[in-house]
Amino acid sequence: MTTAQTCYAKIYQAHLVHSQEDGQGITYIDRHILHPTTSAQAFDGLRAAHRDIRRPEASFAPHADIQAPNPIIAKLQDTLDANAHDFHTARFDPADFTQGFFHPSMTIAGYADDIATAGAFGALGLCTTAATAEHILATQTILMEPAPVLCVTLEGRTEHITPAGLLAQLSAPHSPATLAAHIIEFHGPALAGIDMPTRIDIAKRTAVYSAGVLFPPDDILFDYMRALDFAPTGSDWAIAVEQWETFKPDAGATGDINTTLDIQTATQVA
Amino acid sequence: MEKFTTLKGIAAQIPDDNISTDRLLPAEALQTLRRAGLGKFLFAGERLGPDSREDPSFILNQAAWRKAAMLIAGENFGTGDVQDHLYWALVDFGIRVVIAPSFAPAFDAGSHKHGVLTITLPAEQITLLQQAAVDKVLLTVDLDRQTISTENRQQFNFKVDDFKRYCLLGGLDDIDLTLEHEDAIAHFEKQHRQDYPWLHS
Repeated sequence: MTTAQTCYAKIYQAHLVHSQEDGQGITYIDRHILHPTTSAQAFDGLRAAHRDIRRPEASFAPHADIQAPNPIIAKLQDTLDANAHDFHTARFDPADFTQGFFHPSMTIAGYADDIATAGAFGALGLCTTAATAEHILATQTILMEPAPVLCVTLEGRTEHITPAGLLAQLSAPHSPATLAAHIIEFHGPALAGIDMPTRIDIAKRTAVYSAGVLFPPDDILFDYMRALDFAPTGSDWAIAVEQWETFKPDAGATGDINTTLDIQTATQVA
Repeated sequence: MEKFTTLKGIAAQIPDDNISTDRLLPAEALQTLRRAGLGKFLFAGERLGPDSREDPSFILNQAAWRKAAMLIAGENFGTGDVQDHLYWALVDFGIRVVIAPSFAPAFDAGSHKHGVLTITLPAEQITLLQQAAVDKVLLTVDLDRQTISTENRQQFNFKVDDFKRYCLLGGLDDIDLTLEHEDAIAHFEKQHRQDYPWLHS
């Protein structure tokens, strides 16, 4: 018997390279965003063990042309710049983040702030530490157990939705510890009325409280992406959309915890 | 990671129970950029005074134990938040074995991935080893045979989880263990590239 799967379960399954006896999965990482504070020791570790980066083109270091607020951060940025150069990683302009960096169904690892909005794009953001960053650089995988999912079904009218109101509504019945342990996956008819800027805002705020946020891919996302420079083009676009569609949650898919939120009620809290 | 087969050295004993990760490594050490050199932060709160001068009364500052290769501690060693920096600091200082009647689970669970061997022994054997440490007796830890022997021909048997022993003997960290599945990763990558061409263009 196959059970109805959540979007999270589908993404996890699609990236599972090998399932270990201890329950951890060797999970493939599509893109890795390097960060000054976690990458220095990761590169140190690679050097000490004479290891190279497995996929330099999938490891992105921000260009170091950001004005550093203090000398410590400037030094961290310079260190990452030098490491990115030595190990031939890809580079990116931090301004491109919401301009098409995240694609639905991809796994993207990085510093919490950098990946907070991935979930709005139907992508799975995974937080890195120095140790996990090193593991990804060397193997392009991360060791993880599937996280429990909190499915939030959104109902009601969305004209006046506020992300703060939604979050207040969400944290009322669930303790901070519960939110922190779960991936929050949004389902329900009201999603059709929530535009991308609002989703990005919700993802950004919610990521602070939870292990991750996921808006499954839908037409609102596809329409938004079609206009972006980084979206797949030509025949790739049709293939991509067809693939992304398969990551929608199955009808009747449930999480480990399930909640229904009425948007109109949620807005009143704000 | 350096393989662990046998280790010969002097042990330092800090017999306190519940030696916390905060005590092992002050928070400031977590902000360093580099891994090497973290040893100077080990027990810094006690080893160094407010002016960063060494406190001569602290055991790791005393001539016989400055180069201690092992630590003998009390119950529940390593309690608190565990960061990789802890193990880096221990190894950088030169300590690759911690012997205690019990360990905090999180500290114990991460130790072998960084080349640190945790040995659990009953309290009465710990007492004997503490005396050996005070007497500056040279100890030899043999991981393959799972024994600690003293130069006075005392011997203690210990038991380490088979998987941890395998990792330490082979010098295998998480990356090595994952790379044992290199074929599976390469196969996955090839299929993934076919299925999601736009991710690779």
